[in-house]
Amino acid sequence: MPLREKILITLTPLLFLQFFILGWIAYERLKSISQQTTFEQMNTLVNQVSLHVKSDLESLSANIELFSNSELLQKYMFADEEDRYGIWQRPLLTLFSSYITAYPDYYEIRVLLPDGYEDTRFTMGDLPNVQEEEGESIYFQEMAQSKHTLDINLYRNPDNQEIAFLAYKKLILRETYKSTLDEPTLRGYLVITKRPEFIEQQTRESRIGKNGWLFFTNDQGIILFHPDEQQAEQALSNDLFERLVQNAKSHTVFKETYQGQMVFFQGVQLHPHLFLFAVLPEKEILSDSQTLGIIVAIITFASIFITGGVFFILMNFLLIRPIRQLDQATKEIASGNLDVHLDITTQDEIGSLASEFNKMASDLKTSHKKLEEINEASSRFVPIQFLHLLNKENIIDVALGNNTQLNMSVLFSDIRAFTTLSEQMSPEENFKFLNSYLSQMGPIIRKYNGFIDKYIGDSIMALFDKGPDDAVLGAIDMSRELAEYNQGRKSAGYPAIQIGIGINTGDLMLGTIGEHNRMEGTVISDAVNLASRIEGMTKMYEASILISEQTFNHLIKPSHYSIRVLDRVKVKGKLESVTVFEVLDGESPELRDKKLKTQNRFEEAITLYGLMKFEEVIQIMKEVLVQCPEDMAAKIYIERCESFLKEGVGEHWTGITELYIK
Amino acid sequence: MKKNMAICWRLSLLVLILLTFSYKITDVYASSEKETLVFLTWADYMDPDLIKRFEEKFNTKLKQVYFESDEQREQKLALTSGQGYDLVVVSGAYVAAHTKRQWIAPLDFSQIPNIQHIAPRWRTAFPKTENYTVPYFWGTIGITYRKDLVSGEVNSWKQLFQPDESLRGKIGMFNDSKEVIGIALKALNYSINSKDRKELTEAEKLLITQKPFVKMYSTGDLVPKKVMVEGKVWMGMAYNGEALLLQERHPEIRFVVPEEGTGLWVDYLAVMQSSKKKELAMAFINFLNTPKNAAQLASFLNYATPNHAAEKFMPPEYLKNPLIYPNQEVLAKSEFFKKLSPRSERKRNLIFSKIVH
Repeated sequence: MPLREKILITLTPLLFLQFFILGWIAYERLKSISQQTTFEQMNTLVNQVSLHVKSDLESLSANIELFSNSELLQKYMFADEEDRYGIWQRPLLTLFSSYITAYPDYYEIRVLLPDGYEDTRFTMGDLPNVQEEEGESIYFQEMAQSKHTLDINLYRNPDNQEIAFLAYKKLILRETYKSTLDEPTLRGYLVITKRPEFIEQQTRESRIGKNGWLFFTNDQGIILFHPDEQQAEQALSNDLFERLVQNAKSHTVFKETYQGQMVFFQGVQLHPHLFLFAVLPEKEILSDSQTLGIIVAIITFASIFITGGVFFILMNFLLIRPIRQLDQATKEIASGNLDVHLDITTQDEIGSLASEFNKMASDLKTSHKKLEEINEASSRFVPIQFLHLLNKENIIDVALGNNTQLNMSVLFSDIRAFTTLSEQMSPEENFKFLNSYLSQMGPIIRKYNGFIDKYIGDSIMALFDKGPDDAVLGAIDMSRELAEYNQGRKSAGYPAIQIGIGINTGDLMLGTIGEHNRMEGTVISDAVNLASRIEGMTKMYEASILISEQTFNHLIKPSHYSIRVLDRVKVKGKLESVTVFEVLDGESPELRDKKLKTQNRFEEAITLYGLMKFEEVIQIMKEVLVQCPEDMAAKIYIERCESFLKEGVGEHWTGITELYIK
Repeated sequence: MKKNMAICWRLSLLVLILLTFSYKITDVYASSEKETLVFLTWADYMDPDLIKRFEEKFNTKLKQVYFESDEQREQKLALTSGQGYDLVVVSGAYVAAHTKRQWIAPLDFSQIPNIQHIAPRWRTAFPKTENYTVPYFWGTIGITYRKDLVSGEVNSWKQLFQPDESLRGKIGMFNDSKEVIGIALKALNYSINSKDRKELTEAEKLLITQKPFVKMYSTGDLVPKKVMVEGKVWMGMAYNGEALLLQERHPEIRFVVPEEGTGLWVDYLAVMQSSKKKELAMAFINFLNTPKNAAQLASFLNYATPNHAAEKFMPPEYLKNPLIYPNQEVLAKSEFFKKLSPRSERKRNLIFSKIVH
């Protein structure tokens, strides 16, 4: 699995988990804050309304107390009917009017007499008066029976059917003019009707969250004020109201099913007969949380992707890419390309790794180069083909006794009369000359897929494993090369040199010999001997290239070459005889042409030679010599036949020449 | 605005109390040098020349304290329980209440010989007036208006109570429940002293519909004297003499007693029970009723005097002026403002409070 995927696989869950946990915590926290905020809003509203209503009621109490202490009112209460209505009522009404101007929600101020007669009434605007005798009214009876001298109640004003606060003060007065010893007596009631403007406004306008609302009930659980006017006057179930009241007293928020949905309630008692309740549907809090959740989720996932992306890009840039470069470079090196250089210059472990890598690569390259050099050097001593033929890659793989048997052609070449030549030169000149000569020949042998097995003084022993054609062609090329080389020598004033090349083909044993610490690759075979012997024959016949019958027979395209039969010979000590052929292509073109012209006659003579018709042989060979005086073979045959004619042949003459040379 | 009014009201009450208090002090202070008569009366209801002459003749000082309406006078007196004044001008309907409260003292007519010039029918026009008071003037309430600003002829109370649209905010009304409600009843062809609930409710409705046209509810020197002359009020309630006085200040001001008839009033002079200078007070009453003086005062104030003997000192065209002496036809359709029962007053108070506040 690539590093990138590994990082992704390990990193993604880590990031995800981390942000998910973070997001979850944020969500839970925000949710609780949001819920808390909503509840706080509800609580604040309830407290504010409660405070305002209570302060309104307190101010109403204080005001009615203040108004009841008015001197004018006191005078009024003690005046007889005539003075009361004839004199004091008008300023009293003006006074009431000023009160109402100052407190517009006190829309009705009245003086009731102890029997309930509505003595004085001032109202804001033209509010009709349903009755003047209030003695029978429930509120009046409650008021008369109450032990409080000052109190505020809720009641439904019969004049306009609106729910209002009714504040009263019992006017229990002592007639100060006359005697301070008088027992104070109940002279009447000062009654103020206050429109619950604030409550109405709050009911209408207050919202908790988006859908929460306020409503007010009396102490019987009858809804007095509700944003939905249809619900006003309806009664809450006793059970629900009881719980509401309980929770209002303990100031707790509690959950209830109300009108088919889960809602939160918070309540407060504003007055013995008045309760305020705030309602907040649970749905709203849930939907708030949902919205919040979506937002947090979006932020969380965005964070994951952005952070993950940035992290991954950085990771890629800082870590993965350099590592991949390293990886790539390593592969390059593995595949043999040692010219790898990493351009990573960071100051971290990867940078140092890259720099070490570069160093290593460069060292590797150096040592590889050295190794190659060693290999190359060793290949100069032990030809690579030799190793290949042993199925070895390297010289170090070669062990003592490794061997193989192959059908190959063996080529021997030798500089003719080298001993004479070398005697005329200093050792240095000898080496110079030899190396100069050999360096001309070596490439030709390699060109024709051959390799030099060894140098023996001025001799070259080369092996051709891909067929005798290679060896023959190589030999021809060597002869040509030599001709050119001789041109060079000639122009430099040196005598021309001549080489002889012998080729044989057969099964060869390739292997290593020696001992553990000193070994040598070598070829063991009679074929090698024969090749050497054939090469030796070139001196005698003054031929450039001679090949054995085995070689000739294995030529793929013998017609490509100009070849003539030369002799049938038998190596001393061996039973088998072998026919030797001369490759005319190795001669100079003139000589080759002459030999070609006489080839038929020459070969006719050789046939006659086998039939022991020596005289005819002599005759033909003499003809040949006429045409080609340089043909040494013809001379040899004449000499041989003359000898046979003179001395006779043995009983067992077979026409095979026994080679004595070497 | 309303708040301001409320504050004004409180302030005025305070000022009133302070004034009353300070009068007492100055009274005491003055008496050490010159005797001062304190006379509680309407503004512009006396001839300064007569005062001067009286002061010279009796080596005294006359201090006038003004009220703006009968109802205000009652409050003023009630606040001091009738103390602090020597003389008072009382409308006939209130005389009995004053005697009952013992604010005014019975007169010693031996000290007021000029009582002989007074027509008896005025002396007995209201309960208790005969022994406690001397008639001062009598008159009518009518409509005063700017002829140059109000188009057409004005001859009905309806034109005041159900005014033309052009009169929105241009009407001036008295600030006195008895007179305002009484005249509204008259406009509806009911008695000005009606106690009938239904009739009173009708009058209340009439007054409420009139309210948007009313610039101010005020009696005394505000309406209609300055505002009429200035043209801020184009039409309003007025006493006849008051309107005639105004006419002298602006020639386009007119007065009319509407064809429905009107309320008649009679003012009486009375001496306060608490007065320490009752004799001087009675001397002043006697002085005013000297026929020549009575004639001078009447023609100065443009009111009808109950003093018979004064008539021969007055120009005939004055005596024939129907605005001062209404003809029989008008008188037949008119009534005196009478004393009402307390409950009836209460009813009117409650109605009036809705109108003026």
